[in-house]
Amino acid sequence: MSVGLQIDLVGWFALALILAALYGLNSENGERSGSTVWHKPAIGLLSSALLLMLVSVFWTSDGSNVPLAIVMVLLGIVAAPLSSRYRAARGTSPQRTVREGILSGLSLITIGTGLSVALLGLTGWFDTDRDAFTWDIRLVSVSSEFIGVWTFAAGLMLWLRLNDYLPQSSPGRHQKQIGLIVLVLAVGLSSLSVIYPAYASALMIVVAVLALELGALSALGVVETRAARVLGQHMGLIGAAIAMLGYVQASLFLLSLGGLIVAAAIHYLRGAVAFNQARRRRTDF
Amino acid sequence: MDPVIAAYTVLLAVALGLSGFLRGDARRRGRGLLMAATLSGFIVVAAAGALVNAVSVPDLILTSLAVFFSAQAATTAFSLLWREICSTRQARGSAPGSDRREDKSA
Repeated sequence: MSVGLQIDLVGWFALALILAALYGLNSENGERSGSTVWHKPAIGLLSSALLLMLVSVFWTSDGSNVPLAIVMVLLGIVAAPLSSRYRAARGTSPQRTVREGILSGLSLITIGTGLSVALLGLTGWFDTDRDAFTWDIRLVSVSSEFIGVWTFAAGLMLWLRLNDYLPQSSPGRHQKQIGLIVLVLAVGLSSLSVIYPAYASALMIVVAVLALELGALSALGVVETRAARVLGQHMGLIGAAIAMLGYVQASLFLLSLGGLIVAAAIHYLRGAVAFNQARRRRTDF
Repeated sequence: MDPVIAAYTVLLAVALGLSGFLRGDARRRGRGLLMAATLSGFIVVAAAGALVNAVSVPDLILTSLAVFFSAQAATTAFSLLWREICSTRQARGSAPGSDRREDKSA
């Protein structure tokens, strides 16, 4: 699954485009006039970087699977507006409805990326041999499988909750401890399947089931106002998975992109604390 | 690829991203989450790279499904970010300093 040097040569340019776009998107200092001029060109830069990377991936391949890939990309683009139709709840304020619509879209994103991470981890698992020297490929495929299934389950549960298919639930008393126990079990089992690859296929199924349960726990065991925080955590996990995929595919572009996503998620999660402090200080006055 | 080079690159990228995202407006943190979602839409590149290198039939099926779902996620992320930016420009005059958006998705 190694991609040659040419994709990385294009990847530098794409990375420069992405960094310029992020710079433009972040360059807003309050209500200073004229500072939002760069936002729409920044989106253009991001999408042109994505197109550039896709074209370079198709260009460097031998061309036998390119029509299938293009058809799949087009199908996905067509399916996105159909799937993201948000069913507005009755009797809520429009402000709340918009927020829930955005969160529902974000949970759709985590469903899609989680599924594709899990599928890519599965293909990596099929491709690798049971040799002791390929432990890094096995580690990457096991952990991306775990992350993908976890993210998929959490996104699915959040989407079901936000669209009122599931009853509203509040966190129980022992939910956090159970989540920790399941997490420790899953990590232990997946490290076992990396070290002893003989029984690994059965262990992988157990790990996938545990990850499903963990996703359900992490999405159902929160009050709905903290749903954005759960989504932020899973964005960071997806960033880590993209970095690991970049390691497998020998692509420095994907490695640094995963690092950027992890940084964005950390910044988002850390900012929540600062926001709470600011609010608490204001109520003290 | 050398694991040391990989770890070094990831560390540098995290440091660069952390220092870069600090410039953003602290009151519009929702946009940071949307930007992370948009960047994670780039997984379609990894999925497409795996698809064009797949040889066996199960690999083809799994990776084409991965390309499908990741393209869907990337499109959703781009449209969400685009809507956020369009409504930021509109909301700037009406409600300064607030995180309010126009009611478009309802």
